[in-house]
Amino acid sequence: MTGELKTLMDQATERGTSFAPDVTELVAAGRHRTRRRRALVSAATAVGTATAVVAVLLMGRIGDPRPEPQPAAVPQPAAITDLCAKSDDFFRTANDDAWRRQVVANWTDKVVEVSDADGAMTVRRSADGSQYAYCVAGVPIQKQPLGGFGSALLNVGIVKREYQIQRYWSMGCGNEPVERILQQPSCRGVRYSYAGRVPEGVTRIAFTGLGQHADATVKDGYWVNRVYTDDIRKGNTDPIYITMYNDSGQQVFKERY
Amino acid sequence: MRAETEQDYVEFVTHHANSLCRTAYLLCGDWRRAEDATQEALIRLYRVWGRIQRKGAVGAYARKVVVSTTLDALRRKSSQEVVGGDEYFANEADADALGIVENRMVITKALAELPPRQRACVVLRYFDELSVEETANALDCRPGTVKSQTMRALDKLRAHPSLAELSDLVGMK
Repeated sequence: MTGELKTLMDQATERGTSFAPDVTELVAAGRHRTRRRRALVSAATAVGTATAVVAVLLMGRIGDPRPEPQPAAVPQPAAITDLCAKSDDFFRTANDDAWRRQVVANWTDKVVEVSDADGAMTVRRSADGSQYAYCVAGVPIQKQPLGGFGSALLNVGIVKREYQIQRYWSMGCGNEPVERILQQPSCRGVRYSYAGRVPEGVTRIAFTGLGQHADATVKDGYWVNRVYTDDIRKGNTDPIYITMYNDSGQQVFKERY
Repeated sequence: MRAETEQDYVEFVTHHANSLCRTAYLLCGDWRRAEDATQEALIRLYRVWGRIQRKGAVGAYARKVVVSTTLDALRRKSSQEVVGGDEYFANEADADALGIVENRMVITKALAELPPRQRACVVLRYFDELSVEETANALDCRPGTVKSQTMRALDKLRAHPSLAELSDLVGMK
């Protein structure tokens, strides 16, 4: 479109001087606004992030209300399961021993286990079935873990010899209910733990002594048993004997342990 | 902004500020307000200069910002002033003290009677000589809207007593 309209508008915008703004001031103003906008954006981002975090925290608190306070758990004399796989990580020892680093993680086949109020004894089989390891773990007494470095693990090892019998004794309180988290000055018992392979032909392994009679738990060629005495100071007047019998009930092995 | 990029901005302002201001004047009818709007548009342009320059559409974007800034200023003052009233082109009398061109008053008064968007369409299409698409981009609307707004504006200009005798407006589409 050309012609008079264009001419008229051209004429209307003619004046003696042309518009020449101070470029230096324009640049300064532009820089100032850029800085201010960046600051605003940063502040808005920070506020938004903080708001989101608070909202998430609040939502989490609303959506997941804190459970009602439960009465303090009192250790029960019921069986403690898989204590050997747990760790109190006292003095950062949780991953320092081969049992936790290798056996618990990789030897997931638990062959046989007995547990009581004082702890547990477990035999595990390696993944390829060629090796067996045992573990004795204890329930902490008087807030103190029982292991040598404060660990719940008391003794671990690998069962290698065919007729090898593992024995380990540790502090215990027996199966009577006690407040293990409190001071128990009267708790001076001893828990004996035994484990081994089941020799060929043996179908029953009996324990006698300390006024008690019990059979070991047998499974998949291995056995474990735990015996308790309430006061070691009574002396070993009734020693523990392990007696093994074949399928016809005939005694094939007896030894004092 | 880097020094060389900033130098490009300075050169653009130096060469195009007056042209942009003239467009703003035709939209608002006041040189002081046109200069303010142009200056504001150029400051806004600074902030996005690098990005716009990379796109290669500096001129179109600058005109778009000038138009929006000028029309926004008109809207903000609409409650205080009547566009096209006594204030519109009020300084023309002083500028044309010698009465050199009578037609200047004719077109400015005719533009003042148009709604802002229609006025913008006429100014951009026939003063800045933008295409329909470029005008639509500057006004942030569709080309069809530009066509219809321009047609209505020309109808009103044709009907204006002072412009009725302009031959170019007769039959202009």
